[in-house]
Formats: sequence, structure tokens, C-alpha cells
Amino acid sequence: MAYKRNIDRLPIIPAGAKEHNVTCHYCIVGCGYKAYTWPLKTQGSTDSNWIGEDLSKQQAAETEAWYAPSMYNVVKQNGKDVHLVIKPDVNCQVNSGLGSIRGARMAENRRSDVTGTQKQRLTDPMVWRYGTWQPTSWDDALDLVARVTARVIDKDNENDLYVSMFDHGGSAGGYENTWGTGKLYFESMKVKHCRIHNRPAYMSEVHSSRDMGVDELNYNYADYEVTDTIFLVGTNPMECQTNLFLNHMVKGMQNGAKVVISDPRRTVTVDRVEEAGGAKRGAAGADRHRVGRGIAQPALHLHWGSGVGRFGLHRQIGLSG
Amino acid sequence: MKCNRLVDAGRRQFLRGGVLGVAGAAAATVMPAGQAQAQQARAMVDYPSTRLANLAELKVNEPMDIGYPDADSPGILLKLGSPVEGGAGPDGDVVAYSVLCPHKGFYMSYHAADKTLNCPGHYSRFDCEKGGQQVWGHATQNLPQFALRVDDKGDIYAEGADELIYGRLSNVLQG
Repeated sequence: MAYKRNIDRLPIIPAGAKEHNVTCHYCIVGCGYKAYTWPLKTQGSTDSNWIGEDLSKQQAAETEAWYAPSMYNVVKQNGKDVHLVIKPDVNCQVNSGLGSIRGARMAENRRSDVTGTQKQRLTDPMVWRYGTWQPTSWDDALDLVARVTARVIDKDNENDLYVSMFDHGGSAGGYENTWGTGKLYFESMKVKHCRIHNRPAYMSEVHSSRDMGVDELNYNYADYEVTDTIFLVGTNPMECQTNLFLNHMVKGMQNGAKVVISDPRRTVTVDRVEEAGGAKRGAAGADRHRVGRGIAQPALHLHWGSGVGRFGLHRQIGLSG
Repeated sequence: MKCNRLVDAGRRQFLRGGVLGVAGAAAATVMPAGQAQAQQARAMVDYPSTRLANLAELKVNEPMDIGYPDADSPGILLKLGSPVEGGAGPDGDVVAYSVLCPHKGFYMSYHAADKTLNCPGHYSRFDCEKGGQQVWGHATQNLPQFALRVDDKGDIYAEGADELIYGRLSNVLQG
């Protein structure tokens, strides 16, 4: 049975609430959101609110004047509890007000002593000792890092020193789970090398694609709207770079772009691209949006974590990040 | 091992829905200034009991358009044909949902073949046999389902909703 929050109202953002720009940190697309904070014991009303709309009426589709329970929380700001709403920014050209299952949960994914969200976030360094993770002091943790690092350099040399980390990290500006270690290793200790989760270096998941001149998703997003052909290799942008797909690639398809997908999986991106062209699934007709799937190279793809992430467990896996 | 436990902890926090208490507490602050005795803050808003239809009017797997809690909140009343958890009526198969997609508020249409509501805006899909669970999509909540009561005459009444309806910050609009 579907989980329900049983939340059927939310506090209204008052006029004069603090407004902050937020860039979603979950994938590399960079969608814009607006964060609003205001004192805990105040709130707006249906006729006096942050947006000057009459909230006693039903709002239309794509309205700025609505936010979901996942976009609300209570957090600490300058030592005080404040209401927080983080909602998609309709004026951001990247997402034009669209929210993904990742970004639209940024508020809910903040640590909160009041609502209890993300209480499992670490407050002390943890060290693996005696077969389990144990909390320790910063002095002890840094001493351990220093001794291990010094031993590697003594035994070999600085070029053998690698940091193994994960990117796409946690809530708060990306890399938060590795932010402190990043400062330590790269700013202070000047370590030269790193690698991320499933790869031997900080590289594309599609091996050697950068060497071939095919970089990942680093073009002007407007290019997707005017290009003749979109070539997707081992990626599933409708799920993993949702708003880049919905807000730019779909416009490209509407403008006549052909889409070629090289992927052993039948992803929702494949379905959507086929539907955009009106093509029958698996048909090999001459439709302009037909998907060519005959050039899949399964051996080259590491497509771990390809299940659909629902809002309970967000996906942080940009396949080409 | 540790990692798995953290995931579980996160899931538990999520399922606990910690925001609820705060929404209730915040609602208490809208009481008129100067009122010496605070009114009781309700856990959820008060819903109207609205007659939607009679059982005899429903055909299996053919949704009927409804509006609940008011006419500006479109929904469907649906007899599924087989009992489901949360289903009302003598056969336990009558359900009602909002048809505004909780992602961006587009009107969804019913797909009878797999009993899902489908969004034309960004392709989200919701399962009418599973309490409106999102099959796939961009919404960060499952579909609001309307609580139903069927009386002795077979009249079907809607009396509540279990998620925030798109486009309103209170399911029952307030002045």
C-alpha cells in the first residue's frame, strides 16, 4: 500500500521571508531552486503572502504559489529554528520551475532537530576499529589520517597517494559528506590524485569517452534544443538528468532532432523518445524520432543502480557524472 | 553493513513523516491575536462529507469525474472490479483520487488497461489499485486518495484526503 504522509496543509510563506538562491546538488544539471526561511512563530496567510496571490483559491498547473510537503522543513539558521521551503525556481533557465524527485526533496532532506529528518547525519568523526564504526575525536581521526598518509609517502612517494571518495554527496551544496575531507586532502595536503566510487579515476563512467572527445553534458543546454541529433551513450537522462531531458532535450525532439540511444537497457528515456516520435515500440520504421538501438555495447557500460528511485530513496547516480 | 543501517535509518525517518507535528503546531499560530485561550489545533483540516454518487451508477473500470473537497479539485471515483486495500463498498473495490498530478498539477487521464492515472505533462504514473502509489515519475508524494464511506442506500461519500492536493496549501481551502 502506498505510503501517505497525511499532511494536508502547510504553513504559508509570509511576505518578507528571506529568499535565497539554491542550486540543486544532486546531479550535474544544476537546476535552480528558491529557498525561503522565516521565523518559526510567524507565517503568511491566504491574502498576505510571499507571492501576493489569493491562496484561498485553487492554483493552476505549474503555479509558483504551491509547494509539496517534501519541500518543507524546520531547520536551524543562525542558531534559531526557522521554517524552510525549497521550491523550484520558475525563472531559472535550466529547469524553468521543474522539480525532480531529488531536488524537490531538498528541504525534507535537511537535518532537523524539530522534524527529525536526517538525524542520522554524523556529528562526530567515525573510525573503523575492532570490526565496527566508532565515534572518535577530531584529534584522533586526523592523527590516524596523518600517520597513514606519512607511511604511504615514506614507503613509496606522493604520486602513490590517492583519495578514494564518492561524488554526488549528501545534502547541502554537494560533496558535503566529503567536504571536510576534501578541504583536508586537496586544499591542505595537496594530494594529487583521487578516484570516485566505481571508477579508477575521476572520470566518465563510459571508459575513454572523454579521450574520444565526447564529454558528458557540458554543452550549452540550449544546444539540445536546436541540434539535429542527440546521441545518448549508456545514459538514462529522463531519470538521471531529469530536467535537462524534460526542459531541453524534449524541446530538441519537438524541433526535429533525431535521438540515437546506445544502451543495452530499455530505459524510460527510450520509451519517452519513442513516444515523442509516435513510433511503435521496437518498430524500425522511418520515423524521424526512431531510436537506433542496434549499436549497444553492453561490455562498456557499468549500469549499477539502474532501478527506479522513488522519493523515499533518491538516486544520486548520474550515469555520466 | 554500516551503510545499510544508515539507509534504513533514513527510511524510518522518512516514513515517520516528522513534518506533521510541525504543521499542526504552526497552524495553532494563526489564531487571532489577543485570544486568551488557544483553540485546539487539529491534526488535519476538517473535511466536508460530500455525496459523490450511488454504487448503482458506477461501471467497473470506468472512472466517474468528481470534485472533492470542492468543485475546483478534480478527481475520479472508480469501481476497480476486484477488492483492494482501502477500497470501499460491499466489494471493497471503490476508490477515489485527485487527478491533479502532484508534480506540476497537470490533469491526469485514466488508463484502464493497467488501472493507472497518467500525466501528460512529464509522464508520471500512479497505481489506482495501490492507494495511488507512484509507479514512476517526478512527484515527491503519492497521489492524494479520498476516504470513502458507503451508506445503506449505496450512496458514496468522500470524507477526507491523505496527501496535499496540488495547487492548494490547505486541502480544504481557507479564506
